[in-house]
Amino acid sequence: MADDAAFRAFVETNGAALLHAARLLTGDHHRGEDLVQTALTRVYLKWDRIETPLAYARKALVTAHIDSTRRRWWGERPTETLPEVAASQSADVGAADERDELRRLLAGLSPKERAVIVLRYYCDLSEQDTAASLGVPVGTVKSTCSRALSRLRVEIGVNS
Amino acid sequence: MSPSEAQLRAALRHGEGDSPDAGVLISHAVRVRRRRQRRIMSIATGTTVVAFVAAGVGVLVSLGGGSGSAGGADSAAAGAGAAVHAPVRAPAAAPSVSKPDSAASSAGRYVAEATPGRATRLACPSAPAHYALPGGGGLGAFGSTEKLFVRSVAAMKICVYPPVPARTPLSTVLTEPAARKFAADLESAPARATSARPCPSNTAAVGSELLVLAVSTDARRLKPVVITVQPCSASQVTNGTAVRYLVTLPTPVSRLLDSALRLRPASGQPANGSPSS
Repeated sequence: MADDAAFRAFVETNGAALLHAARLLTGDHHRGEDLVQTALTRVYLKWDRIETPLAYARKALVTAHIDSTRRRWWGERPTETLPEVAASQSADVGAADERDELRRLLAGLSPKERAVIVLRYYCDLSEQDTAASLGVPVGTVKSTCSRALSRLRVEIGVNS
Repeated sequence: MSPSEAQLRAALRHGEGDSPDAGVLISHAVRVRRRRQRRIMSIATGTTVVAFVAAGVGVLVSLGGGSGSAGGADSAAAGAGAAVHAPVRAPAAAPSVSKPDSAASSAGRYVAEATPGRATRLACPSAPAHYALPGGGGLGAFGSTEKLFVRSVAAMKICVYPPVPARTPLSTVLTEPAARKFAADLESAPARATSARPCPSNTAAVGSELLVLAVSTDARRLKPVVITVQPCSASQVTNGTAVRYLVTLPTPVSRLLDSALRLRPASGQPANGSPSS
């Protein structure tokens, strides 16, 4: 049985960051909450067996997000134009500040690129830790990060 | 605009909210755990049930297969007689008549038991198996020294076919230890006919044939063994490949032959098949 008090303390300490990372990964407030609940549930179920809960939670977060983005024949099929995106595109982009612009462009990256950006620049993980969380080589993290930043720059350049 | 790392970090950190409710997470995790446990239990229960059903079916199949093999060997015994050169000596197959063991019980050496067993259910074919032996079956032309009974014998039925056919063949059933001893006596007989050839005391039995339908200790039907009583020579015992020669007939065989010859009908008159007369 998991140590509930320790788990509560862990959630109070790291829950906000994990929830925000989940929102960044999904690009959606509610999906982010679902994602962090899935990840923290996995953490709770393995609480007695994991040594570094935060690393495990990050890895569970990224894994669950990438799994959820894989297309399943029984799963939901996303539409091409989401209402939120349409509303955002119809709004005046020039009125949004740089943070909002970057956050919006982040949603246009692939799930793995987004995960690399979030882990590297929001969770402040090193390339090695990012690679360990994603289960990929360090070189892949470097190339993916470089590609993602290039796409962000291109998108920002086009929009500006 | 080209985003620097600082801009990117600031943009990503903007809007951090509260941490999720740990109590809700714990209750959700507990529900997930219970659901997993229920699923595992149902899978384990289903697997156990399937295993029990499979085991039961296996037992039933093995039981059914055992009785089926006995019937199959019956047909094999009859088929062996028909496949090679089968002189049909009786007009049709008829249910065998077990010989009562009033005489056998007095013998002391062999005990023919009337206990219904596996061998009792075997039916004597209308004609014994006639094996086509290499070289025509002549002395020395064949004679494998391999075993007549490849497995340990638990019971056997001996069917007798006198020279003048009776309407129904007589038979007797031997169970352990009499069956085992009888089989051992046959196995220990010489594989070649000896030069000393004492004539059998009952010459009327010459030309008679006996079919030994044996059942092994693991309830398998063994290859039928045919004993041919030959004139003034060793009686031939064979299962088609292994051959033995008996100078004197074992007690169950001689006793059965005596009973069959007493029941032998007069010329042209079929026997009534009653071994007790």
